[in-house]
Amino acid sequence: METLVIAFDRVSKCYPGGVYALSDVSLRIEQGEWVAVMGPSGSGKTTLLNILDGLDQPTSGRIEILGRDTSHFGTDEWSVFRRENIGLVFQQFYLIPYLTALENVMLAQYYHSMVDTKQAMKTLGRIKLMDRARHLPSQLSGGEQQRVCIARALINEPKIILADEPTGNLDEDNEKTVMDIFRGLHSEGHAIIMVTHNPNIGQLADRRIFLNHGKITRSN
Amino acid sequence: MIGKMVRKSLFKNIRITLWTLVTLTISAALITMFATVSFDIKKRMGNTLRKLGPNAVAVSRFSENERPLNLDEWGQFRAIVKREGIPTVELSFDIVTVEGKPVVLAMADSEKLAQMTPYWIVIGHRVWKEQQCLIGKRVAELLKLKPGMSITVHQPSGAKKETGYSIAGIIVSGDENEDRIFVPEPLAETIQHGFIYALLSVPEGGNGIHRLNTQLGQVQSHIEIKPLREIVHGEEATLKKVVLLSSACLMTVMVLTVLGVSSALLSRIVERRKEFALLQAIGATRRSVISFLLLEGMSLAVLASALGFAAGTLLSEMVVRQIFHVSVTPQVTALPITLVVTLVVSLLASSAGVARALKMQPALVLKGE
Repeated sequence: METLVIAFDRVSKCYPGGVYALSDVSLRIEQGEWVAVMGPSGSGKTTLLNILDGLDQPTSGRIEILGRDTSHFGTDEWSVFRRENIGLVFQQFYLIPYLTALENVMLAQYYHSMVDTKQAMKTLGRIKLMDRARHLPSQLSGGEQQRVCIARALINEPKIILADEPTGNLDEDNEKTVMDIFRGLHSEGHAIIMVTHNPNIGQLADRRIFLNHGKITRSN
Repeated sequence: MIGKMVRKSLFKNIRITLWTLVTLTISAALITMFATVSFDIKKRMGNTLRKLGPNAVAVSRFSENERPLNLDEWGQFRAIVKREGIPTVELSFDIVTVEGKPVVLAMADSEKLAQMTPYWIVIGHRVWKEQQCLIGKRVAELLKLKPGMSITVHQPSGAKKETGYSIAGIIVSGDENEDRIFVPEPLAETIQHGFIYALLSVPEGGNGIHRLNTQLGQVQSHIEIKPLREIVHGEEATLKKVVLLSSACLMTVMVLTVLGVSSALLSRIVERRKEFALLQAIGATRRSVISFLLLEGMSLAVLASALGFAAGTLLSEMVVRQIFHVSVTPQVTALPITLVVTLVVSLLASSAGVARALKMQPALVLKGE
């Protein structure tokens, strides 16, 4: 039986100056569903993702994630909720430059509960990076850095994975590797919401949502 | 994990780390130096001021009509000041005539008197031998006397009725001593006659004099040590001013350190804004971010305190040796003081950075805005 993990009800985000990044967006995402959020630059894709992960707050509307109304969460409440339930994958990777790949993964563990080197190594093994565990981000290729970023997102077994252009900075080979990982995660039952420009990647998703000027123009 | 992260982040941003560490170390060194010198300054300054002359006088509690002090009572006083190492000169007085004019004759040990009255200007020789005397400026003017001349002192109450002295020098002191003639004379010979007292140079001013009186009171009650109030108050006022000046310098140093470290920490945080945004994105609460930043500041403060304590102790040794020509006593108590003050300075400086870090909006920072 499918379970609702995300419900957006008439969510808007208006920036100072009256610019609407999102306007009356309503959206429902089920457990295990892979949704690609597509659209031109400035259409509100990243804003949608940032509101989903609590890094940005909506101006109006109601948001329910995993059965909890997050509309009135404070900063710290969001931090706790995020580390329990959401894994984030960024286009720019955002790894801590002075920590090794293993330590970067363990950092998410640390803020979640407690560090476990074996589990962190296992997660790096899952994305075939065990041999690079002791390397600093500067010693890794772009693809490898993105895989570390994915490992960090997975380490706490989140139900939802939010990815913002995860292959935007990768070459074709690395793009394929990373998308294979996402396919695996999808098959394991994670809900994936992925912002992408790339129609080929969009085709891998169960559903594609098209945004333009902050509104959902199409969904298929 | 967080400890490892703090250590690695400090090494990663080595330029700013070093700048912060150097600033905090300089501050810690100055705190140590001021603390060490402050502990020592009363003693050292007191000793220096004590070289400028007496600050107390020991007198008999008996009135003129009662009996004079006997040698036993005076001996008890001598034993105490000797044990305490307090410079003292005993003086006894008599009224004599010189060339038919009455003059106050003061009898004292010439060397001790010279040590106790460094502020005198003496025309001629300072220390005189037997059968030599020093005469006050006004006596010299009255009797038209000069160094090298001879005088005959008629002392009706003395063992010898007439004694001849040659003048070693003329005293210019600006006080009543210019009306006196000083001759070397053993106290025992004169104690049965005239007035007697002792000048003392007691370290630690009023407190030292009080302590000495207490010790003396446990043995006998016939001698009282009285402070020369103007001098004691003057010394205390001088010491207060020195301590005040030191404190003002220390406060200035600390304010400058807070400003310097704040700006270093602030630029450190601005450089690392994406890192802090990421920490919040992966689940760090505001409290965790604050703890992380404060821990970084504290680690530097602890290291700076240790380095600063060593440097500050050396610095205070150099300063004290330069000014007072003695070694400073290293003060272990300065270490906790340095540590606490440096931690407070670091906390104050970090707070600006922490406030900045908490103001950042992770979504905007991660978007590159």
